[in-house]
Amino acid sequence: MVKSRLERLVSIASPIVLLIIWEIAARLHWIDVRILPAPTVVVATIVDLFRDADLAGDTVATIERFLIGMVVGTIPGVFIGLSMGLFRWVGIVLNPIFALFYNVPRIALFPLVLILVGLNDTSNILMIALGPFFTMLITSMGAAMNVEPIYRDVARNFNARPRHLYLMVTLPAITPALMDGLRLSVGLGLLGTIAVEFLITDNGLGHLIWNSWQVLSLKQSMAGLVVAAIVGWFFYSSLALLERLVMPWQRRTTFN
Amino acid sequence: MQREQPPQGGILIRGLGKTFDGSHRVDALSSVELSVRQCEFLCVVGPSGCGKTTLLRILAGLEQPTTGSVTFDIDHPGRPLQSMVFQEQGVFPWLTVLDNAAFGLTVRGIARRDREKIAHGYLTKLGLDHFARAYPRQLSGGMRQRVNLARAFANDPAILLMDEPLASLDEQTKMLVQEDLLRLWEGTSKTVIFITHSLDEAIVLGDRVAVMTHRPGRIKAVYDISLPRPRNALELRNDPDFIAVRAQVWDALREEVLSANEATEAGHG
Repeated sequence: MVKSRLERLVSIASPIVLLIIWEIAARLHWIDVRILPAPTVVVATIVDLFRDADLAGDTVATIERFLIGMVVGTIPGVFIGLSMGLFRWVGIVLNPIFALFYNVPRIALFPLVLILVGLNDTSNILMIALGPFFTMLITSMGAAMNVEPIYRDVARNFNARPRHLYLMVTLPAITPALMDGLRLSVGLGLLGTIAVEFLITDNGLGHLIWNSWQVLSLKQSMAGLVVAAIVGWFFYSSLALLERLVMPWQRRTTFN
Repeated sequence: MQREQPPQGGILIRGLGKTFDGSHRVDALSSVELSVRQCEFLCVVGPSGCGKTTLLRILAGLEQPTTGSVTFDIDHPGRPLQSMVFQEQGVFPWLTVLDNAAFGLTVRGIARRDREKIAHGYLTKLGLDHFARAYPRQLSGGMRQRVNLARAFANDPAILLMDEPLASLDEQTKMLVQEDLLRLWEGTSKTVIFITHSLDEAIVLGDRVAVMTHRPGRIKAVYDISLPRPRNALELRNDPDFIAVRAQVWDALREEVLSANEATEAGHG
C-alpha cells in the first residue's frame, strides 16, 4: 500500500495523540493513576528499573526464551507440515495425531510437560514452541498442498531428488504463506513466553509483570508491559525486513 | 511382430489408452498408435480436450497409461532421455533466469561453474544474457517462455516434449519464439514432440504433423511436411506449398473440431 504524505503523517500522529490524551487524563486525575500511571511516569519507571533493578536482564531472558522457542517450534513445524502436504501417506498418518493435540488448549499441557521434562527452562522452551509449531505446521501443510501442480511436474520431469523438491521447489513456493504464518507465530510465541514466565520462572518480563502486580506495584507492572510490547513490535517489524531478504523475487521492477 | 521395435530407433506408441477415474469417468485416449522417428520434429494437433496433453504427459512420465505401451528406442549415453518444455507458468518465479535455465543440470549434480556456463550459453542464444540475474517476474511473457526453452535445451535430453509452449503468447511474439526454437533445434539431433492447437504452428515447425480425433483421442492421420529447412516462420506462411499442405491437413482436422464442438454442445444441452 502506497501512502500519501498526509496519510503517513496521520498514521504517526494518531498514537502520539492517544498518548498525550492519556497523559493529560492522568495529570488531571480523570483516571486513577494507581491503576493507569501517566506515560511519562511509566517511562521514568522503565529508566529506574533499568538502573536500579535488572530490567535489562529480564528483557534479555525473555528475548532469549522467545527466540529459542521460535526456532524450536517453527523449523520442525515447517518441515513436518511440508512433508505432510507433499507426501500423501505422511499426511494420512500424522494428520489425526496432530489434529488431536492441536485441539487441546496448549497451556493445559503445561503440568504434563513439567512432569515429563522437569521444572526447568527446557519445559518453558517447549511450551513457548508449541504455538509457533502448530501454526507453521498447519500453514506449511496447507500451502504445500496448494502449490501449483506445474511446479511439481517440472521437478518430476527433471528427475529432481527429494532434497531439490523440498528446498528448490516447494519451500520457496510456499514462502509467502510461511511469512504470514510467521507473523501469527511471533504473536503466539510472545504470548507463550510471557505465560510461562507468569507461572514458573523467576526472571523475564512476564515474571516482572506478574510479580509487580501481585505486590500491587502497578507502575512496575506497566513498565514491564510496555517493554514487552516494544519487544513484540520489534520482532513483528523485523519480519518485513526478513520478507525482503528471503523473497527477492517478489520485488517489482520490470525490464523492457 | 515385425514392428515391435521402431525402425532405426525412435519412439513406438502402441494401443495407448488413458481413462481418468473421478466423479465421472473420462476416456482421454484410446488406442493411440504412433511411431516417432529419431531426430524428427513431430507436431501433434487436435481439437481442444482431445487428450493431446495427456499423451505428452504419459511420454514425460507424469501419467501412467491405462492400456498399451510406449517403447523408447533411443540411445542417450550420458544425457537424460527426455525433458519437457512446459507452458509459461512452469518457470520458477523464485529462481533467477540463470538458475531456472540451469535447473535440470543442478538436480543432475553438475558443478555450479559448468552448469552456469552451459545455461548461460543457451540464454545468450535466446537473447537473454543480459537478464541472467533477473527474476522471471521482471520479464515479458515471450522472454519467460525463452527461459523455459533454455531450461529444456540446457538439460540436453535426447527427446524434447513440448506442451503448447507458445499458446499464451501474442501472434508476433509467437513467431519470434518459433524462429528461436527452430534455430536452436536445427543445430541438434533431438527428437521433438510438439503439442499445439494451432495448425499453422504445427506446419511451420514440424517434419510431420499428426492429427488427433476428438475425445477419446486417437491418431487420425499423419502428414509429411516436406517444406525445406531452414525455415523462416514469417515468410513460410505465404509459401504456396505451405498453403497447399495446410488445406490438406485442415480437411482432416476440421471434421474433428466440428464433432468436438457438437459433443460439447450436446453435453451442455
